[in-house]
Amino acid sequence: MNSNLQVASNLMLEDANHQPHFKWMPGDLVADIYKEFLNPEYVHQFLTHRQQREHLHYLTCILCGRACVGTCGRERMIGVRKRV
Amino acid sequence: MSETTTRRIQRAKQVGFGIDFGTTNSVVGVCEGGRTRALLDGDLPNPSVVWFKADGSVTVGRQAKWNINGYSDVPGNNFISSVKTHLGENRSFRVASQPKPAIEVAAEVFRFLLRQAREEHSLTVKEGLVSIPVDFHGHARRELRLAAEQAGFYVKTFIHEPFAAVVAYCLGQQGQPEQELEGRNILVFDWGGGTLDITLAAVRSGRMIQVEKGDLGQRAGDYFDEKLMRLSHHRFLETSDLTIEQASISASLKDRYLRECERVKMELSERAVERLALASAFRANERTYDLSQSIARADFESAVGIDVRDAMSKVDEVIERARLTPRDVDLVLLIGGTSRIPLVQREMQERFGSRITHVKNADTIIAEGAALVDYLGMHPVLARSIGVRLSDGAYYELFPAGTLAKPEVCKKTINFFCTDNRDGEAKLVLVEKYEGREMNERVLGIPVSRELPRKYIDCERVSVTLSLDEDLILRVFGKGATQSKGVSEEYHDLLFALDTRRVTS
Repeated sequence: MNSNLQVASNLMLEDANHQPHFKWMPGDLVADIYKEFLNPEYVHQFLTHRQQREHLHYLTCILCGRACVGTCGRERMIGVRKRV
Repeated sequence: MSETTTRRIQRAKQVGFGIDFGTTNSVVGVCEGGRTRALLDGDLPNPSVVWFKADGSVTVGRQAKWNINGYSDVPGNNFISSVKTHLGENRSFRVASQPKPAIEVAAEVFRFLLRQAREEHSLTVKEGLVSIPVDFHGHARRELRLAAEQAGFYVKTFIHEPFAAVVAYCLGQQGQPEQELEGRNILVFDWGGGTLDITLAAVRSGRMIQVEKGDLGQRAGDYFDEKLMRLSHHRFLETSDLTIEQASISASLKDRYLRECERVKMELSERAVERLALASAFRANERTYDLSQSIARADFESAVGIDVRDAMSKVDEVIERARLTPRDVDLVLLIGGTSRIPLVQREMQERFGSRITHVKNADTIIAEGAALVDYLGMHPVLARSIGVRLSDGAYYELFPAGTLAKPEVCKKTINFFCTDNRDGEAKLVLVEKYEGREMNERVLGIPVSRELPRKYIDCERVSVTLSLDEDLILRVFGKGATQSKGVSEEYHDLLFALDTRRVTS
């Protein structure tokens, strides 16, 4: 059986062009460190699309109970809670 | 001969040496004035058999092989064959009730080869290249180098056996000029006593490149001898009145039995039936039993059929991995004793037809290729670029393809930061790249702190050092800034190329 898992690199070069920045980190980790990113306004303002997806992947829409994909806009009005 | 080859020869040194330290046979190759030859025992290669005699002296080569049957049962005499397969395993043999490390046994083979060169050919061989199987791991390479040094031979660098064959074929006096080979794909199928090595090489812009490789573990000639021995023993038990305990194979009988099986196997390449005979093989009921059987080629081929089929699958796999089809292979070199088995030849013929080249000097082409590379002063370069995949998926190149494979050139320390430390491990993903394709991903987990950084600036720094040593092994060492210890790993399966336009001294 073929594996359906892949190891992703979590290393970024540190040189003149690459310095530590939250844009290189997974979105859910950024939100763990910076609680202000739990505010949807900031999520859309500062995180890349990939980070937004990563962040929202672990959140559940309290209205419909499904994984939040950030498209209905309700999460902006009502808020979201972290999936256990 | 092409202009570039002529120019190389003008710049080259006087004599080049290469040693093919084989599982079954070993040969010294010599290149003088651009012409290669092999130092043989008569017209045969030297068996890699070492005989430790009862009087303390040592005999290597044909003399040792010839005396296995006569002396293996005589107390105080020890015969060691196929020592190459035991290198790197920390293995010792019992010789005169003392442990004899494999490395010292291998050194005896080297000593014999150097003495033969000196006494029979008036050549002082002190340094040169040694050929190795593609998958010869790091410990084995280090022990092989040490064995050579113990015998007084300095290994300038190693060269993969099938690749040495390609070089000898392409640049040697019997080969075609290199221009005609430009753009060609060459498959080397080298099935010897210890290993099957498949290498797909290509000639691109004057550079001979190892494109892909494959192997079949230790399933080769020696393994086939054991299969034949088991087949024969099973038959003997079926037809004799001895029990399995009475007809057990002792250590000394095993040596003789395997030698006889090897002979029968070789004969079966030429004829349909061969007699396997062992005098006084077993002793029971106060008498001795001889072993005498007819072995048909069909029986042998049916015993090894599964291995041959696996070997053919490996050939297909190598070609497929290179994103080619068998039709894209322009030339096939069949090398090694096991390649002479008619079943192997038929299978290869079916795939490649007239593109199979019957190499006249198949027993010596590897040593001659290694000698030619030494003579021309060529040094392996990286066939593929080596780099690291970053967390955003980008490829960061560390050593471009064509980088000289020398420790002082292939050495780099790079600093990273870990973008996600929640599992306590930084994942260094090493990748090779060839013709725009990324391949051979290897992951090294480097311990880092699990404590979440308070700010992004606090991401843990990870320092990684990569270095290629003189045995062509890539060592990678990584250490997280908060950790007291780092981790290291070595990779021995890199592929190389020879830049025929660049000559190093």
